[in-house]
Amino acid sequence: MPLSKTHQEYWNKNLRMTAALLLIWFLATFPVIWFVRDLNTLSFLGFPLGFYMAAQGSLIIYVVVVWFYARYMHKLDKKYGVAEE
Amino acid sequence: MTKIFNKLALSTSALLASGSALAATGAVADEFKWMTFAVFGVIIAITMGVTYWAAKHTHTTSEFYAAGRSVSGIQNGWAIAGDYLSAASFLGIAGLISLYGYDGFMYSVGWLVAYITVLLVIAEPCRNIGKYTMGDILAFRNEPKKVKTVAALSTITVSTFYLTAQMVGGGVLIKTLIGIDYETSIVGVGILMLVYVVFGGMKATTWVQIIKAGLLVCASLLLVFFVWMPYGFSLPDYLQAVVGDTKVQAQVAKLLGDKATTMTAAELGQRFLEPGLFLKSPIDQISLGMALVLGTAGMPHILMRFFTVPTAKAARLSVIWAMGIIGGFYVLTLFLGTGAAMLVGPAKIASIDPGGNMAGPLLAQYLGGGADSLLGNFFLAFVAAVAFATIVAVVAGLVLAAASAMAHDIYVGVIRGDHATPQEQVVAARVASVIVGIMAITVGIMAKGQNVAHLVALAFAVAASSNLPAVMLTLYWKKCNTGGIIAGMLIGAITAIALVMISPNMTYPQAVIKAAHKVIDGDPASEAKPAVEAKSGEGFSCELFATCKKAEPAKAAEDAKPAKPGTREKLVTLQAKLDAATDEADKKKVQADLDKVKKAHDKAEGDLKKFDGQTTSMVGLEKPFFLLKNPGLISIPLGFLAVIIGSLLYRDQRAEDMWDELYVRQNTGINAEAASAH
Repeated sequence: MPLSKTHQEYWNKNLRMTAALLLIWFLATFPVIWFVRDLNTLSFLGFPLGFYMAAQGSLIIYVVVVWFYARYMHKLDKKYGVAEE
Repeated sequence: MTKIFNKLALSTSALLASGSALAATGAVADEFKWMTFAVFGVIIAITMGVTYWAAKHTHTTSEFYAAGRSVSGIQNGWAIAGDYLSAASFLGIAGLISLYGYDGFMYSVGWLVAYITVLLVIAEPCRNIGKYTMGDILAFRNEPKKVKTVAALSTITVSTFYLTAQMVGGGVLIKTLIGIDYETSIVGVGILMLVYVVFGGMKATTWVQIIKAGLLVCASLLLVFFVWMPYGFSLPDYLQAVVGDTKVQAQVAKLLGDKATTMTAAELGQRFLEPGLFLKSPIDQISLGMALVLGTAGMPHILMRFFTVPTAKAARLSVIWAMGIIGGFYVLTLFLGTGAAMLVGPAKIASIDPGGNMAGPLLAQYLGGGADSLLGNFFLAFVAAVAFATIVAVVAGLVLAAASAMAHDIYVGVIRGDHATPQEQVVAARVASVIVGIMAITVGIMAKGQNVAHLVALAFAVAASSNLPAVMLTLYWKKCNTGGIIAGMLIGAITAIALVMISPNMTYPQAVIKAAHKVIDGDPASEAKPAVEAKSGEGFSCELFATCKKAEPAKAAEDAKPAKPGTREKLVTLQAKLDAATDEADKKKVQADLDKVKKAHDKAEGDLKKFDGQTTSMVGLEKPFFLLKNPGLISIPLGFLAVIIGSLLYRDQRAEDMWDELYVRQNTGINAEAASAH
């Protein structure tokens, strides 16, 4: 099957979104763990922020990232007519 | 077929019942054992019913390996969660949090963080290209026979490591919980799992995972409700109570040792929320983290789950559900872990199992009304049954993955050259499952008493260094070809295994003998030592290999210490004390101390005997040459590098020509069902 221009465009959009979401993923993980002591001086919902991020915050961000990706891709599939039914 | 099935089911329940006769000691008191077995019985009956139903609907290859691609996104999400929440993450993480606070969360974040890479990078393309196994994905644009052989080898290696760890962990866990013999537990788990897999294939395995995940979530919600309710469901109030709890503060003080003497009670409580109580070496942690995050995407039993859904959309949906369930469960572990620390106390949890695995079950018992109440023991029985279901379900998924590599990749793909009737394929799959299952039981029994924790890390390291580079580069790199896949998979796997063989995970007789002598003879008195300044190392490679000087942190000045008596001396003094004691309560206490010391003494003596005359480890090393516990930091980049270099050297026009087709298929999923090894 030859590669059409729409396919190329679809794929590029997919890759760009993937990269953006991986960046959020990284930010919600690495710096938050590395700088936990500094973050603990801030307070969130009555928790030290650094502790809260490890206990619940980062986990919630991950779930939101995945949910957003699925929604975005679903729309993209429809727009480019590659959705399976 | 049905007849054999019924017979097997009967003998399994008989086996489990006979377990009660063998029961020795466990977390469940003897008079409440019947309740545990009743709950076990109900769960086994339900899963057997599901297997019976699934067996009726499993005739074709697609039905056996991929549940006929009829699993909906939501169902698959629950099944993935069931696969993922192994006993280690269900009991282990709550335990680590209860003992070490903040550092325990590193595991939940670590496990979940991995799932994002699975979805964004691997899940969808795999669903669109693969058929039943990882070998199918790789065979798409490479030479099928060669890559399928290597892929199957790698799949079987990874599954065996993980399977062994699960079997041994499961046997120990069941023994700790209800006191069934180790061997009986292993055989019970093995036979039950075989019944699910052999008769029900992927369909039964999927439903067992779903049931188990559902039970797990219910049990956790129930416990969290009772833990949190007294605080009016307020987060800050709850956390204040944790930080202010004297048991938690005592645990922190114990972990910090001398450093804790200058801290106030409030500071100690606060310290529970900060890192460093459990994890010490950051480089080792990064290495372990890399293996976990990248290995998950290369785990064959996780990859396999994506072949069961009908569309790419369903694959995405299943990851959302899986993430939601797993994430939600881990969010709840905050309450399970800290609740157990506050209500049961770290000291008691560690006294039954030093790894903390009993935190959840003990918390359940406490919340139901304590060790003597009916409700408390019902709660405990329920959690124990969920743990049991967890082990069986995870093991079933792994056996199916290994069996499909054996039957579908090696037998059908390589030996029969893809020419086998559907009937032959299903028979091959069932025979392979039985072989893998029996192997798992045998290895499980042989590995009794071994420390298998490093096998989990090794399984993830091999998956990350061998499977992931091959799968990822064949999906995303045009020039990738057969040469690269073979080189990458072999070099990645061999490096990971070899590095573990020379790492601190192995047993080094000299160190064991030295430690045993120390236990028996005690520490001699030491003089006061001046403070030592931090030493800088001779470079980064010195942190990894024992070839040059490693950096060392500064040490505070030490006061002179009196000699510490060893067990030999203690035994004598305690025996004298026992003889002198007149009070009954005193006598009991001294006797308990005496038993404890005797146990330590016997263990040390046993070690001395076992390693007498040996000076080197299995591979002939006196001390570890590779200094990290996990090889990921080195073996993962090496795996990727080997795929790249191998591909560039090999050159294959067909692989490049197939790229366009793969490229389209990868993101559209057209013809996934028609896909076969080209």
